[in-house]
Amino acid sequence: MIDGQAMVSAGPAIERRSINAYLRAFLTPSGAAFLTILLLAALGPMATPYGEAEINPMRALEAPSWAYPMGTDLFGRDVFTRVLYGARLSLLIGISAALIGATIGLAVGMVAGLSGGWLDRAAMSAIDLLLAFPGTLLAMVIVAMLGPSVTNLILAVGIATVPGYARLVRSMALSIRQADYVLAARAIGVRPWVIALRHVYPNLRASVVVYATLSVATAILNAAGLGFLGLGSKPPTAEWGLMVADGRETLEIAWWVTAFPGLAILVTTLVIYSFGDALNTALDPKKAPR
Amino acid sequence: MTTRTGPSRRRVLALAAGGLASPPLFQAFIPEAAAQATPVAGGRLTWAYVLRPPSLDPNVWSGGNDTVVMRQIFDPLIWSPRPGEFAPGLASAWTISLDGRVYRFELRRDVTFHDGTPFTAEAVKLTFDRIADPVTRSLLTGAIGPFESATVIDPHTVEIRLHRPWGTFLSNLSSVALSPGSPEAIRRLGAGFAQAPVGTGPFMFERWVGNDLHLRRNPSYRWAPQAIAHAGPAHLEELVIREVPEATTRMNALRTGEVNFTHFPVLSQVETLERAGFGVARMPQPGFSWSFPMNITRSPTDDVRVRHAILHAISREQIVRTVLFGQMQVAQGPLTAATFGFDPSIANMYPFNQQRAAALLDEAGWRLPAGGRVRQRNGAPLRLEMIMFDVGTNKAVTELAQAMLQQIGFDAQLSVTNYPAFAARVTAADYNLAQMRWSALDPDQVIPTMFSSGQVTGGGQFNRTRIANESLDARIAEGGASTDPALRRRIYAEIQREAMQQGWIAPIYDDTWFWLRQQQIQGLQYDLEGRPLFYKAWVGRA
Amino acid sequence: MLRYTLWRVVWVMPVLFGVSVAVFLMLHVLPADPLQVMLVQTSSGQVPTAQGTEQLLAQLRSELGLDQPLYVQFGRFLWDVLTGSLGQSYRSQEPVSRMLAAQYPYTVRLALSGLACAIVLGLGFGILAGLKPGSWVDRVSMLLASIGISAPIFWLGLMLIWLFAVTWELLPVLGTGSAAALILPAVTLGLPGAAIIARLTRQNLAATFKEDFITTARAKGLPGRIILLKHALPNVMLPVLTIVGLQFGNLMTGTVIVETVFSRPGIGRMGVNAILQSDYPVVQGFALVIAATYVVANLVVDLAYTRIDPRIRYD
Repeated sequence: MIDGQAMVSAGPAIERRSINAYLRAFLTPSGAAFLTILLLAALGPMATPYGEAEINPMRALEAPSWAYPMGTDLFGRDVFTRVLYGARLSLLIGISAALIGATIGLAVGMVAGLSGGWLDRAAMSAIDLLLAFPGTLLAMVIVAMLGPSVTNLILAVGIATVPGYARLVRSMALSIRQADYVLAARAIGVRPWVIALRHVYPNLRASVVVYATLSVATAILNAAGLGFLGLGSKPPTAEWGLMVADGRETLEIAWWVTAFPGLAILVTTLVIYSFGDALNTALDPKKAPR
Repeated sequence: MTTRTGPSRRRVLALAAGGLASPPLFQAFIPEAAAQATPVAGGRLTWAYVLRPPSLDPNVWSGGNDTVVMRQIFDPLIWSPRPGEFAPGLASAWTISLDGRVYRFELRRDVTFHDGTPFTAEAVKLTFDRIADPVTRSLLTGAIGPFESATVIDPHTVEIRLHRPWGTFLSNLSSVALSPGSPEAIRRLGAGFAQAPVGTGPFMFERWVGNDLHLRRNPSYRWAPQAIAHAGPAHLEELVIREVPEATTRMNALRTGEVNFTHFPVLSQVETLERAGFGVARMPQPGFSWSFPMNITRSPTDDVRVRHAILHAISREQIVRTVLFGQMQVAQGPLTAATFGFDPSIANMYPFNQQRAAALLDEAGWRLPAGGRVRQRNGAPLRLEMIMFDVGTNKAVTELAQAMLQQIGFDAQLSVTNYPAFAARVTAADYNLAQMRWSALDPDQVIPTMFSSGQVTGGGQFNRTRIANESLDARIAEGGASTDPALRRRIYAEIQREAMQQGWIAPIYDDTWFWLRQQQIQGLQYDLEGRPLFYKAWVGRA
Repeated sequence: MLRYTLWRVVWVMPVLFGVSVAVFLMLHVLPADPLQVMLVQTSSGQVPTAQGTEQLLAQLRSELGLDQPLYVQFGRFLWDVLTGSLGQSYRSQEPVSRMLAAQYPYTVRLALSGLACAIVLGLGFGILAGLKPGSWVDRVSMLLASIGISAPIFWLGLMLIWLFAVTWELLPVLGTGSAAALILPAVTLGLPGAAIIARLTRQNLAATFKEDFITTARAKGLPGRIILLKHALPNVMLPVLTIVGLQFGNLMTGTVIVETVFSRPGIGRMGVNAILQSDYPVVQGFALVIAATYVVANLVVDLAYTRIDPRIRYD
């Protein structure tokens, strides 16, 4: 729930960055951690001997052991396997939601920032409207209307992040608009949309990328919250929020069923935030090694 | 018009006789282990309650738990100490006409409502009229059945006229649904009456604090039925019903002493709490067992072999042991073991046997493709639609069953929703396995609803098996109309056997309701359905 | 200044109007027919015969005016909202406005307590850390802050209950009934905000201390406490206020989860239950109240912002 805008817009105007900057970010500790999580999510589930929904009632509610590193749940399912599947699902939701938010937000923000006039006002009014509902609540209402499912969840959480992107892009576009090279391009008659794509967008890209990284984390937190409340995926899907909710009743006798999915959310979010920080540093020309 | 004991009265006596022949399942007002000390006046009982009652108007709202609360605030016209036996309540005497259509009640003269207004025949008439009036949108229209009219003969005599004789009428009168509320208050408060009820009971509404309901002792209460063996106001000074929706929180609150009474426990903790010295009352529920009715009009459950396979593939013992922590009994058929007419001979008709299930499916043409996990027939997968609504352990039980079915090759899809969405799919017949459970004292209150053709698209649509068979309907009606217990037992035994042989349902467990309390709470009584009465309860020393 | 204030206040109206349009349209975008849902809810599953249903639905439709054109319906809806009538719950027939009025104070109490916790804890740890950058106090505080931001509050709440209420029995289990009962929910709610405030405060404090005017003050011989209070802190407050404004949305969202975890009354839990039960009138009322609260709160923060920082001018 960090406000990425404050963080990013407090930074300096960013110019073209090379691929090296991104690589540098991945080489930091948080970058490495992020890569590890990605790998675990992608490959992990296939590496474990248990299935996502493979029940074994004889071994229900067993404490963590060599056979079950994170113990088993009420139906004897391996918590570790389900946490890995949950990672896959959460990252899928987070990244998709961030992509949706970024795409729509970028488009709206650029249109608003570059056109000015009534188009700007109209776009920002629409954004203000969306902002009248705090993020997760907007997502809840959307899920209420469309019904709980993974797709609706992605849609809901994605739409909830649009205003943040739109505002960020708009304010950056507004300042870039005044830059010399943009004014020059307009003077020689380059088309507006070419200006947008060739001159404005590349300078936004870095900030948007950093913001997107942070919003992946918030999307994951949001989705987990919705899952906990019962507004997310259907059983027997392994979704972290849902797993925490399901484990509540047996918290006394089987703390691992609730603790590990919760820890997974915490660690993943933490790593992504740190990675966002690292990315911001890497992409910042002031701090880059010369 | 001369009155004598009409057919309904005969039946009532016969039922009572039948009831006495077999040991009564619930004694009237089962007292808790005899209290040694004498009751102490004063004290507060705080009940960690599952969800704030949306309405406390007994003539309009019928939520299962909420009727317990309303029971403390309202009195019924008559009381039922044993199934089929009736004793005076607010009505001191009654007669039934020859043709069984006209009931005349003599009312007590010493009763007043909590607002001080006297209890008269007008209140009784208003009760019936309200329920019958479509504007009220009462959920209790079933409780008045073929009601025609109510007439006030004099301030303490009221006459109820029915379209036709109806055996269950007296039994319904003993429920809280037909309890009278103060006409003055109903007029004055309108819809607000549901949030500030005014009855004649031992406890009266005081106020809401957030979602917590505060009830106070009714100091004028003097008209308890004789069977309860206590006269005068209740011992408890206050009865507080606190909303605590999470089961774990209820348990914790009981442990820390923040509440001294609760229900719907976390099943895994019941024995621990009992060992720690808390009082645990277990009330096995009569009625329909918790089951999966199977839709026999839709593939693949239209094939009896597939239904048998399902029955063999689900291990009820496993479900009860795992999800229910062994706190419930395994069900054997449509009726629970605690119900009158339960037929023990149908036990273990379908032991857990995965090989048998697989063989049955193979026989029906559903085979496992090489290396596949889902059976197929002519290229189509063996898809099973399971629908469930999310209350208590429903989801967990169904998830486990789903996993078990998947193990033998079903592509079992589970959809857990809220009740309206579930009901919508039932109406659309868009399911293979649904859910059913019902608490009721007599098989006639459940067997017709679950298996008669009128309930497939009509009534409450509770016939989720969707069986529509004339001869079955006839036998069900016979069982309902008869007053001969032996005949009724025979008929219901036949129906249970057929239900299981044909695989109309997959019964899972017999429901038990739990009431947990701190040691100091004594004097609790329970009615026929196993719901608590706080009238004689008191709080002892720790 | 006054003109800006007026303009901001007036601007709230169209936003609220837009919100009511959105909330109204909610019921018309649903895949399920809300009338069907209402029927099932009110009849507790006892849907009458197929024919009966059709008749009943038609009757209900005309009763509720659902056969009128959309703009007429919206007009009625707007009028109803303005006169305080938000319909009736499908489940209990209770007027939604009454339900909201009963539950709202609890949410406000929780939200304000959470805010207080966030500010107190955040400033406290932030100042401690900022005064000694690099020390173990700093490191521990920042670690806690990182966890505070990343941990899902429903999980935090559960863990806190388990530790403080069940294992150590220091605080009550139930969320209402005493002042002590408010502690755990408020802390859970405020923790993410506290974490952000702590980080920001520390950052700003450390940066401020490097500024020239602080060196001057030190050179003048002013005691550390005065330097902190009079010179350093005011610079830190403005960003904190910004954060508070931005965090308000998260606070409201948080109440939904905290009320559920701690079994407290409030509109958050009411809203979630209504969503889960498809009780659409209550969902509408909930959405309206949340949006209105949020808009008004933002307005207050925006106006406070302009008062505090004279450098800010909005054109």
